[in-house]
Amino acid sequence: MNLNLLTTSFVIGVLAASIRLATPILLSALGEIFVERAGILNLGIEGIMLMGALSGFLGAYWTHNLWIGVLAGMLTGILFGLLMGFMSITAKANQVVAGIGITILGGGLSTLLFRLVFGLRTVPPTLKIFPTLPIPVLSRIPVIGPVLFEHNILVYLALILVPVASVVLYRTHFGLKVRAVGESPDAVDTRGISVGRTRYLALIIGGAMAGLGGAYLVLGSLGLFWTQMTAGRGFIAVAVVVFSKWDPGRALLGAWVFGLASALQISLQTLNVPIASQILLMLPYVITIIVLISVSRRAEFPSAYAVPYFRGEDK
Amino acid sequence: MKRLTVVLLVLGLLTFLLAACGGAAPGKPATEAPPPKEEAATSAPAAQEEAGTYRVALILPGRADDVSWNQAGFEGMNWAKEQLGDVEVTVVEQVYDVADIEPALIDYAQQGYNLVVGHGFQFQEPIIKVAADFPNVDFGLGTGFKTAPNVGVYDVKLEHGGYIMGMIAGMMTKSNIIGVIGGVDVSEIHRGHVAFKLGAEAVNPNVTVLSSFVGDFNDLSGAKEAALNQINAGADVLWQSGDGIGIAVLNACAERNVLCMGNNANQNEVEPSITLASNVYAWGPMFVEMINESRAGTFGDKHYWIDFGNNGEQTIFNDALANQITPEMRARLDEARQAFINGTLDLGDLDSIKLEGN
Repeated sequence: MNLNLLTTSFVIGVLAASIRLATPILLSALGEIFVERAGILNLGIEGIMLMGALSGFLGAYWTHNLWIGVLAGMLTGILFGLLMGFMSITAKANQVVAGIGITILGGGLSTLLFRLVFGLRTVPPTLKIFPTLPIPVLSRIPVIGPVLFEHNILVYLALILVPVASVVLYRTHFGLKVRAVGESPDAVDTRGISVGRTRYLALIIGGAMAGLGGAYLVLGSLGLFWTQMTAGRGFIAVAVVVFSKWDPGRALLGAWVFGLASALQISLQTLNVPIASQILLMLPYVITIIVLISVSRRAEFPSAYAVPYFRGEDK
Repeated sequence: MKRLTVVLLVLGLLTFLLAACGGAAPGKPATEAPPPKEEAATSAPAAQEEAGTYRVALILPGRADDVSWNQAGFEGMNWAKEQLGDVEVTVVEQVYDVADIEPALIDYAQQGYNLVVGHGFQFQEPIIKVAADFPNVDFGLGTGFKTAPNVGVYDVKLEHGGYIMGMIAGMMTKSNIIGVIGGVDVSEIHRGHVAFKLGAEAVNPNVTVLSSFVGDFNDLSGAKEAALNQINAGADVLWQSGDGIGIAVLNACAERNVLCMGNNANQNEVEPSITLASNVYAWGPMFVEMINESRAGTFGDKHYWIDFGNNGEQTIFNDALANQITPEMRARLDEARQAFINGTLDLGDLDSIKLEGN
């Protein structure tokens, strides 16, 4: 074991990494909260994130403007959210199947488009990512400063979106509609509010956020696109949503727990603990599964969760 | 429905958990793998004779332009095709899911390909299984330990290249901490990582060598964090054993201005400002040998190696940073390389040496 490497700056580095690792999961989870609150289970997040990553890369690569990349990622996410909406709301397809379909489509299509655009390269195309933006004064607080206030703008954006999502969900008319549609679509329908329209809007939010989560990997972390680069983060986001009991604040906690477990696993390998790397690599997933199982027993799913809405008596 | 959702989620997570231990993560072949066909296995020999030209199928687990393992295999096979002239080569990319491997193998065998090459350790079990059903088709397995009368394993002496990379890192480090990052702890990657440590320790008795695995060859974000973590721990020269994640390690090194080294393909051009050298695989001549033996009927039940001796493995220095490596260092590296070729330097059995906890 290399315990002599365990310095304060190393520990700070691990904590800062946990925030970076949590960011794409948090972004996608925040959107998925709206989707699931409206009664739709979108398992297509993984594929939407990959499409968001690709579009984010192309947008920024072609225009040399990272913000256009962010926008492109979100717009593509919205398109795929609408596709999910068409399948699950308009066509009333099984949502699990539709979602998995989108995940497979996103993985394949993003790879194909990347190859069509760039062909076979010996050096992969790259771009400069969002620079680290230390927040004045706050970043100079010992420990907390470098952990929380020395990140790039997309990380801050994700953190700010947590209270924003809370306010929209709990304090606005739209949030009320979303929650009502997921709990009792019949009642909402009799009040003259369109169930389908509300669910589409929730999917637009969910798609945009998943697209942003994918774009973060490219624009905020790596500066390049890679096949299947999400590596399961979309599914982790769905798990985080269940853990959060559909609450943005708790989603922040859930995403951070996964980020911390990942960062911890990485540092345990660096410190050369006498545990096989294969076991350590399981750690974040094992923790997520344990948390998910323990929480989901008490979780109160939205009543109309994953149930397509049929108007009138023909259900 | 709710219970089903939780079950599905847990199943989904389990997939990734298994991926972490098995080294085979989910992912769909985007450049489509041929769909499985349920025909009788006996049709293969007939099709083979009708076809006339010798046909090779190369199945890659990743992208042919990954600047790494897959690209080296792809370029090697293209080289072999050009050398031989009368060989037809089909390449399929991104057969990454282990579940997709067997159908792809069966499909090519049924189409009458003479040699079906699975470029990766994860092809071992499916190839051994499918090869028994197609005795007239030869199968090449990219690293592994199982052979059969119609299965030949090809492998790289990464313990030699890794040792040289370790020597460079051991001589270049100022902090006396160096690191190496890989996809999964298996086969040649394991031997390479152990040898990296041995090489560094041979030239620098005070060196601490860090070794980490990402668990997923496509998780570049994770690989970058692993590299940053090693750098935070004080490492100032990093190596990586390749695939997509290697690019992310180079990326992290460039961001923190730390020296790095490449593997598989020549990666000196990816981040030229910090990349000292690459351990490059040239599979071409070995593929030619395999194809010739397959045609002559002497293929199988053996290992084909690339190493320094047959120039299948080469240390290529980055011209931009050539001045950092002194003539004395170069002489020591050449000496070790020569010792590997002559057989005077033998690292012994590296498979039994554990990386963790040492």
